[in-house]
Amino acid sequence: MTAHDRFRSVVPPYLLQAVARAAEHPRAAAAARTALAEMSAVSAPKHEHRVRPRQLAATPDRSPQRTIADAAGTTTLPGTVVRREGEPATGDAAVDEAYAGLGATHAFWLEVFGRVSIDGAGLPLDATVHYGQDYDNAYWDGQRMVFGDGDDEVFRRFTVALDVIGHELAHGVTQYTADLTYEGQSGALNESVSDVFGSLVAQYAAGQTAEQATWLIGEGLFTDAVHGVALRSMRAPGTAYDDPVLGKDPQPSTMAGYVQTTEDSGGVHLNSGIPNHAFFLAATAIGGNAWEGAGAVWWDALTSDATTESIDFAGFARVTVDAAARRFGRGSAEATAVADAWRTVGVLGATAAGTTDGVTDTDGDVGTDGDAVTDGSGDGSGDGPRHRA
Amino acid sequence: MQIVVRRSGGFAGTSRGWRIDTDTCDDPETWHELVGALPREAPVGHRTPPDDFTWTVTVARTTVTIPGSQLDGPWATLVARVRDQGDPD
Repeated sequence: MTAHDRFRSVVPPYLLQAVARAAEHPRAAAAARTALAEMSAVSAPKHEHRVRPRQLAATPDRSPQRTIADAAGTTTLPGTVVRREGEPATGDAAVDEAYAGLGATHAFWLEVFGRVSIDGAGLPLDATVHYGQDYDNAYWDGQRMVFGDGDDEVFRRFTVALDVIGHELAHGVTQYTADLTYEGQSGALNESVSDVFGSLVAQYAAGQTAEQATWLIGEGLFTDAVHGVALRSMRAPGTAYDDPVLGKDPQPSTMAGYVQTTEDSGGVHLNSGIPNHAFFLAATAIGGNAWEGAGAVWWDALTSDATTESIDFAGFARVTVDAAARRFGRGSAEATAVADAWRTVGVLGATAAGTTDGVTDTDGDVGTDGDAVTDGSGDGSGDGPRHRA
Repeated sequence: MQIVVRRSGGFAGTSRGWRIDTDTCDDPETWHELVGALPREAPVGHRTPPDDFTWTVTVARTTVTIPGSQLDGPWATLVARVRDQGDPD
């Protein structure tokens, strides 16, 4: 029996969650939050042993261990190191924004989910700024984050938005957990998971509830010349920009608008609008701090054995519904909100509406008879989605 | 000779394209030299890094796809020149 199993059988996570919210019992609430964070930590990931063999037993360094390098306009990685952990600000905005953003992202994962860095084992956080000439992008190359300065006509520097930094680091987290294949629906889920946790990093840093959050991705990246507020909107996919040069934000918000294309690894940045919108709907229906409600459910799903590398939207939706029932209880407002959200975006069928029954068939169809295959008893004693130890 | 360059993916997920007809350029010979310098094989990525650009370069009737992080050498030179001198596609 793992620590996680033992723990889970004693106090169901949804009860801990209730205690964690109890304002009248601050000490118990703090303890419950710590327990939940530790539970998330031990329930972490599956592929670490394969992707990056490390001894999780050793106490990892819990500092971000940041190293920021400067490519000085070239495309040669990593570039010259300009700021290491603990060193003072350099006065170079991109360097200092990257440093601060990595710190805020590291704090989010540690404080909310008890995860030490992106691999859960204290992986040092490396980033390169000033990459390329007029480089309109930021990406995770499997080992480090790479940020361009933008062209200053359409895009400003990519370090300017904290959610972009959180997005790139979340790609690292996904790589070490579900390792979702970057193509088609699993690729769009990979993208969506990065938008979800990138947005949550920014919300957590700003202390915003789901109601207060903008749910925009990449706000501030566009120059004033662009007709648009951000790159993407989780609240209303397809409305972030409408510009003579860029065209209109092409993201669909429901399956009715699903885009079939060979570009962009099968439209991973387009169709991510669908799971993005599902997350927004679930988070705002639950209310409060999104990282404690829908965010925790998505994290459970990302680290569940049921989430395969090539999982599709419907499969992932079922894992989240199951995870919500386990964490918050079957029939809880949270579990209902998650199921309703996926139904609204057209990923789950109508029979999944307002119930957590019948959405866990293994044949890829939405169940119609309420005969759930997976344990979802919600009492915390069953197996539920199997977590990766 | 038509050369078409398309860029898809990236954090923004916006596709852009540029096109040039080298026969109507002032210096078609320079373009032929650029194309002649291209390696037979385009660099092939085993795995596209998340949010990386994907470049699709079509020279006459041949199309190659190159991950942005591996766009280098003569291919990078050609792409930069088409973006600089071509028309938006």
